[in-house]
Amino acid sequence: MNDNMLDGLNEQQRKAAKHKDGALLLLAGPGSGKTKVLTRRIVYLLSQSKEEKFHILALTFTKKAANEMKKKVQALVGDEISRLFIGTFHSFCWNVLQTYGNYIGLKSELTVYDKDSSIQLMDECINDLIKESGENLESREFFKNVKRNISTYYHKFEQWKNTLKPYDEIYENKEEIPELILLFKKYNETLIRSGALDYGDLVYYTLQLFHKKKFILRQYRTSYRYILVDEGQDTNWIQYKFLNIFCGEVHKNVFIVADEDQLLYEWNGANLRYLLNFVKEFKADKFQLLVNYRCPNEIIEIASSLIEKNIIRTTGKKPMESQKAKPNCCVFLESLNSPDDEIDFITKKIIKINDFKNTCVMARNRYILEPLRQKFEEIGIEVYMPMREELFATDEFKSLIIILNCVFNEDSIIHIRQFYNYFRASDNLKLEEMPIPTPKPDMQSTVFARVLNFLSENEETGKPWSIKLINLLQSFLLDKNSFFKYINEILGFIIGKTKEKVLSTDSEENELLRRDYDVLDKIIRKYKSKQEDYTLNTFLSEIALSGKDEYLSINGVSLLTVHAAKGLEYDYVFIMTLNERVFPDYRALSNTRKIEEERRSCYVAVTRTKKQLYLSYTKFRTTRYGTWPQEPSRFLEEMGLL
Amino acid sequence: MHIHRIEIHNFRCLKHIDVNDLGAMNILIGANNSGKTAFIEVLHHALGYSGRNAPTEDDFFVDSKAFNPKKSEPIRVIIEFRETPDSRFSDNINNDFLDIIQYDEDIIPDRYKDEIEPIRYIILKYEYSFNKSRSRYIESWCFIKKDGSEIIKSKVSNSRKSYFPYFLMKALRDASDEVKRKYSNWGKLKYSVDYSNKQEKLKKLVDRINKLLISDENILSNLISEIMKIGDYLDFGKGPGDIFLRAMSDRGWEYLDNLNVFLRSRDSFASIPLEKHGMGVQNFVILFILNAYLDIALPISIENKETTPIIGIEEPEAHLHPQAQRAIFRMLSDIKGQKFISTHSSHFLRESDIYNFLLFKMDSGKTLISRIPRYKPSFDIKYGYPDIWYKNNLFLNNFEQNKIKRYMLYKNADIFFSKLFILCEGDSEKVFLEILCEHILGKSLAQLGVSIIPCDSNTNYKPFLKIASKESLNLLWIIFSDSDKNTRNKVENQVRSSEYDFEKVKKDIIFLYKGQDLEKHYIRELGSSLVINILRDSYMRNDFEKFHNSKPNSSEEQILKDFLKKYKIPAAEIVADYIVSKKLTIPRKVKQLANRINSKLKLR
Repeated sequence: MNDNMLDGLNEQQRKAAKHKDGALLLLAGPGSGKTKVLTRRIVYLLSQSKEEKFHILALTFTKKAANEMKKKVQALVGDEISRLFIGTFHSFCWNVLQTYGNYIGLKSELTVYDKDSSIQLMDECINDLIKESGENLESREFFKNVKRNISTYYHKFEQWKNTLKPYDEIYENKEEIPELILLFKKYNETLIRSGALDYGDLVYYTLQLFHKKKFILRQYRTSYRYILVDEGQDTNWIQYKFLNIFCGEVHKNVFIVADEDQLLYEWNGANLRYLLNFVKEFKADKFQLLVNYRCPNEIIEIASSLIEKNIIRTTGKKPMESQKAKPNCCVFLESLNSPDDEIDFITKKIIKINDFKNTCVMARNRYILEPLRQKFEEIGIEVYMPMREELFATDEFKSLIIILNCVFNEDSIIHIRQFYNYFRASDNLKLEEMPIPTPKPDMQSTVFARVLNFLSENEETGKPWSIKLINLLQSFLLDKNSFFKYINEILGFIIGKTKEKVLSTDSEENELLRRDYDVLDKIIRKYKSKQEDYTLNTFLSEIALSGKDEYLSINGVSLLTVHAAKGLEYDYVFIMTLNERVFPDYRALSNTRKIEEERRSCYVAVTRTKKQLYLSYTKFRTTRYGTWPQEPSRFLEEMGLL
Repeated sequence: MHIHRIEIHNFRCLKHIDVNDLGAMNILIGANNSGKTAFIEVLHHALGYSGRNAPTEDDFFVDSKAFNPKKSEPIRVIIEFRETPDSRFSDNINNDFLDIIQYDEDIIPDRYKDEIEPIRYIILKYEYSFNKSRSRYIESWCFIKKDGSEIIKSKVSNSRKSYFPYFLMKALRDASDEVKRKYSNWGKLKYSVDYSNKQEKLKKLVDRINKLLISDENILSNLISEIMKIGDYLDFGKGPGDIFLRAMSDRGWEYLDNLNVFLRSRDSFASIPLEKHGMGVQNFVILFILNAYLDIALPISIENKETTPIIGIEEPEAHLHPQAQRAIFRMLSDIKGQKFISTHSSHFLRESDIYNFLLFKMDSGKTLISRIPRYKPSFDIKYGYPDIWYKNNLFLNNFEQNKIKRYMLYKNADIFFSKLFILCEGDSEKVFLEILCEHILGKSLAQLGVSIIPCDSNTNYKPFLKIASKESLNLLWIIFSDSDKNTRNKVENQVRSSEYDFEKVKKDIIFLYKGQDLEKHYIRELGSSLVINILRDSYMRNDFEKFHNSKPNSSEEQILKDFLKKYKIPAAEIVADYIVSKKLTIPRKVKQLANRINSKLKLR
């Protein structure tokens, strides 16, 4: 009866799923069914212990992966799902802090800023600092440079927080550039004022909580009897440290699924070394899933041939075996004269295959994909090219979300600035120059309330419906829990038409609005089905947690970078512009380590394929300076195709 | 799981209630209409296991004439469950309430923080109010942190609630109701029986009985033929399977419909069903059925080995003889779980620990609850201190505790039902004052809620003063004391050392005139010859004569004094009765006492 849970698993998968106590490293190549193993293992552990009440902690790499696994597990275990926490590493830290953050002095009402919001906040801080630099040209230049590479500095700050030194100590660090420290300090102070934590804070405070209140750590350690980690190869130093602290000396039931050949996040601090440390310290067993269920034999052969050129791999790793019978030739290599020719070729082939939903085109980066996307749009081929974290396409709906955030957290400076900007767009008042009105006596002193008050008293805002909208928002502030009612009214004002009018009029501008209404309706429906009690807080969380992918209709051809394609699979895969200096990128050429990561990227790209793989490269490239010859990528040779 | 603290807001007369340090047994006492029923019933709304329903608009606390329940403050109940160092939460509880459990570090002194784990607790919040966006009244449950903020994603699921199911036994306990209703404890016990493996056998027997009862009887089989003609007029079939009679049900869940308890009195021949017995027997049996249900059926239906039932019972003593009352009390004490029992029975009180009493009082339409604290209010209670510290910080020391317990046990547990204590030295004062005060005030002291407590010596007032104090039950008191030798000082010192502001309470201490005790006082007021005559006129005449004759050399006054010393109590009764019947002038100090009683109770 119990082993039904393990139906449909092969020998190796079954062995892994049934592994009882003790640590295990499961090497799972692409298409080997690791998600299945993880899901079934959780189901097995839960259903074998119906009398017991211990919990299971499963850490995934993305929210999407967590949601999908959770759905599958719930379908098989029903109510026992309450014993499972499945989410990303950061979402677990957030869970801990929401519950027990007050034990180290954190406020109850906090929000988490993801990478994009944090970077936006950093940007604002930089702008302020540039102004404050005044005549100091050196400082100004430094800050402008930071602005240009803001993502890099975001990660630097995150790493500073990951050292687990108290922030005050970091502020005293004389060895860093003073301007950078200044920015770090200002950024943190603004976070606190906005009632927010960034990802670095999440980890820092969680570990601080575990350190200062050991009884809480002990409780978690006792209750979470089994820990599972997905994508172990992309786990970085701080996450391993977390695992070590969490487990202490006693807890050893850690199950890590990894494939070092798919390690794409080295730039984020992931390192094979942590994986190897884990195996040693936890005395982990090592299993490997050898069978690839996804790719045809030919593809596995070339992929294995490619990846074996990497030196830094776990020892004793066997090559994968295919499960699929050998079909007719399924790997095609095409060389084209120019990028335009390449685009033509790909387009014609895709039209011929005529299965858009199951077709994907990958490239080293987005710039390469862009011209292809434009061509598809011209011709009328539907495209799915996920932009970062953008759930809504129209400005109107984006402003709705901004407004909801302002209402929820009336002190959130970044959202309020965006709101103000949208309002005064017709003015020439720039974002940085928005005055935050001083509080009047007897008035609410939150920033948003003050701004609304200020706007209502200074009518020259350029949009005719503005005053009504401001009054609406002011009454919204007093009645936050009736937000459903307010959402429709706000949209009505911003769009200038009622929802019915938008949905019934068939024009191009309405097309996007209709699409956004559709997305919003889907979110609301899903939210209402989960909740009993509607609060603005939980609704915004629902929006934040909604993977954009759930709501965008993936009926078009997918245009993805390799990182975006992680975990996905397609019947027909095109990998374009496989040229030396493009893929592998020119910046990697001098560094063996980086080349290995590029090689892994290519390995991941190739192993997305279920039926047919089309590889292409160009002989020439045209820039504004002239036409240059191009070399095919070395990976093609390493795959045995050239 | 044990309830440690309960907070109630805006439910009927319970505007703001906060009681903590609750034990396994909690006795609710207080006048009628002081909020005891509200307390027991609101717990049912919040934690009821079965037969639970929502409050209604009438249940909101009304604070003004223009009251609108839709705009009122919500009805809110906050319940805190807490472990103790000796009885920690089990692993199952820790797992089931992961991310909900809170930790109390403050209660562990710093020097022990490494050795003793903080105390875990769980806070449940229940609310009932009008929800504007949904246009109706809504109940909600959630778990919260110490600061009141809701713990997100913490569902108050059935499996969590199964640790603390609440059962309500209201005052009106009618056996026919209990026996007939499907969801009474009796009903639940009945329906937990499973006959499925006897199904076939039973069906055959039922069919046979139906045959014996019906088709084998002429009258009834004729009746059937008549009835079958209905098929001619209405759209029913006319065969024997379409319209038929049945006396005994053949449906499994109806077999026990008439299951009843029959009781036969000893030495009698008659076995009588429960509902035909007197109310006392009915009440008693129903409470036993509750016990049986908790023992037998609950563990099965609730599927949680660690469940601790919480029970609210109103007046379990209803209709019961004192011996039966004590038996019920013992049965209730033995029930595993936590109990909240409201009672008017001094027999109950006598069996209980004084720290378990919750005294309910009504003050301008709002209920106040007071208790006898275990420790002095100034003591910052933490775990892990040396035993001697706890001992030194008791609110009542052992001697005082025993004094009260003994008083309750052997003399009068009614003191806890009183509004006002009168502390005096002995039984003679008690008898004297009771008779005269009734006469002056027009009502008996018992009717007025006044209790006279003879303390047996002038150094025994302190325990009573303490439990009457504001930190404890907040009751009114008057001391009526002798005034001989050092008594005055002793009495005043006791009042001072019970933390009263002496200047404020001076008026409540009535001393007899200097050097007097009660007998001296009334001899003085009436004159010794009158007293002697009263005695000679009473049923004590013979005793008096005998006494008189045995002391030929003493003066009349001396004989009187000595006689009264020996026969204090009957003499006090006789003299008091005489004063009343002959409408003599009341002794001045007694008048003063009556006046003081008047003004303290604000009579007239």
